[in-house]
Amino acid sequence: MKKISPNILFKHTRERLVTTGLVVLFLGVWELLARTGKLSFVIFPAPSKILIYFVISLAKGKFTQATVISLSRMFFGFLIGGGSGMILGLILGWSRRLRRILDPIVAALHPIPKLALLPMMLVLLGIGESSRIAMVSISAFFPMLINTIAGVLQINPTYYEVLENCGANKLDIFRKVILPGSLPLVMTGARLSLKSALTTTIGVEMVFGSTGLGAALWLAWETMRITDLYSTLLIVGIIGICTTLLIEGSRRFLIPWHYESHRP
Amino acid sequence: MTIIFDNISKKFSQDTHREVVALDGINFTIGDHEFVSIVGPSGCGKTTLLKIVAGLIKPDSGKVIYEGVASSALLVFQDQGLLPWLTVIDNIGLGLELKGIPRDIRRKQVLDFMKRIRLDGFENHYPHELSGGMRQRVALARAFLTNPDILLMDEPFGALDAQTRIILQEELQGILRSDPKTVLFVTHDIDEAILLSDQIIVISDRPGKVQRSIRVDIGHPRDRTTMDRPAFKEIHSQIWQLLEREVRKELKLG
Repeated sequence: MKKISPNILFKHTRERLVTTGLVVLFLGVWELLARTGKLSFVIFPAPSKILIYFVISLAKGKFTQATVISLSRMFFGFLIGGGSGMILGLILGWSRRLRRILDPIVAALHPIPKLALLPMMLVLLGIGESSRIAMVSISAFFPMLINTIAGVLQINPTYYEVLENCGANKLDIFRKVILPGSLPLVMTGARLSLKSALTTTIGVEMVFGSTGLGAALWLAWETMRITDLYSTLLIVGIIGICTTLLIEGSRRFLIPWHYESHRP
Repeated sequence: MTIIFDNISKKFSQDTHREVVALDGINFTIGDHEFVSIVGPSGCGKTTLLKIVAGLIKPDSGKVIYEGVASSALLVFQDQGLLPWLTVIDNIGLGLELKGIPRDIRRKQVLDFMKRIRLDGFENHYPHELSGGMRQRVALARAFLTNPDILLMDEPFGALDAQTRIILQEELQGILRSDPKTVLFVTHDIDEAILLSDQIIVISDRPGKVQRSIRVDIGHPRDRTTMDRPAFKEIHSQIWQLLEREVRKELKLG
């Protein structure tokens, strides 16, 4: 078996070095300007100050509760919305008739900015956890649905013939062709779906303003605690990067047959 | 067991106005354990005929009659016949698995067969890690292990380079010697058809009709040296005369 490179992050070392250099340069210039007083310390405190504050706050557990709350909202929404998106996507990819019936509805609902549904959700579910989760679920639903449908449709039709010719029934075809064949795009759907869930979680929390990282961000702005603002942003950014790494990492185990051939 | 192709016809509508007659009243008979090749210009409905036998397409009229037991037909595709998400061992065992053969028995049968055709050591590879020739050997292994009454092959060596093709032709002959089967084989390679077949059906293009059925009375085993025999050359020129007009028509050479 071909060796899979141990870590995709360590590929293209030379280019990665330049990337790191650019980031260091940017932070360095910022640091310099902040320390010489060329930048307003109220809006742009020195990166080193932000980092020290961030580390101390982390150690004191200042953001722990908000992070746990936001993460669980994101994952719950992803499980409900992404899960149902995947199931419906597999069904619609499979059945041409159902797809023809429901495709126009999906196409009409998909472009609606999901945050615009919040007032209606509040009317329906009230101000509470359920309307937050519902919002996150809806935003996680569509990327998963659309990618799963595309994933089923891009399967080479010959594979269906291979199975039929071996005497397979519908369940066999589902297990052996539709499910594994659509998995690469389902994973792409999962990545976009998680990203969408995170965005909506933060957005909804800002509007509600009581708990979670979104609320913390909003409070930091309202009270002009600028280092809190940067630190919370940093956490949100780290969560975003981690979700991508999580999905990309699981690709290698879930779709080894696709992983190697997919990398340029 | 004899298989009779009784007046099979199939049309495809390209758009609302035009129809292509892929097959027009195809009649011929395949005997028990006979190797029959279908030769014809590209697009003459050879694949359609195989898919009809495989039960993947229904003919407009006519039928395939099996004299003897109820029959199963397995199709070996030109390429794309392996599922990319299954390892070699699971790809070969796919037919057995769908027949409901338990996992451990299946595994043993597959490994035995892989050893026989020297594929052992590749059981955990995925198809994309194999060469084209290896992939077709895996496809052959699946076909023989699934053990259908009739084996349908749609240009199984068509996508391979000339050298690999020779090796696989010999390998196919070798497997058939120890495990005789009724085979319906589609190819556009005249040499390949003569080398492998007992009977060659030459089909014309649009409408697809049987031009002639030719018996190959050359003893087995046959190999590359068989091609130098007068009998081989005689059949070759016979088939080429039938096909040349079709090919020129296709190329608009008049």
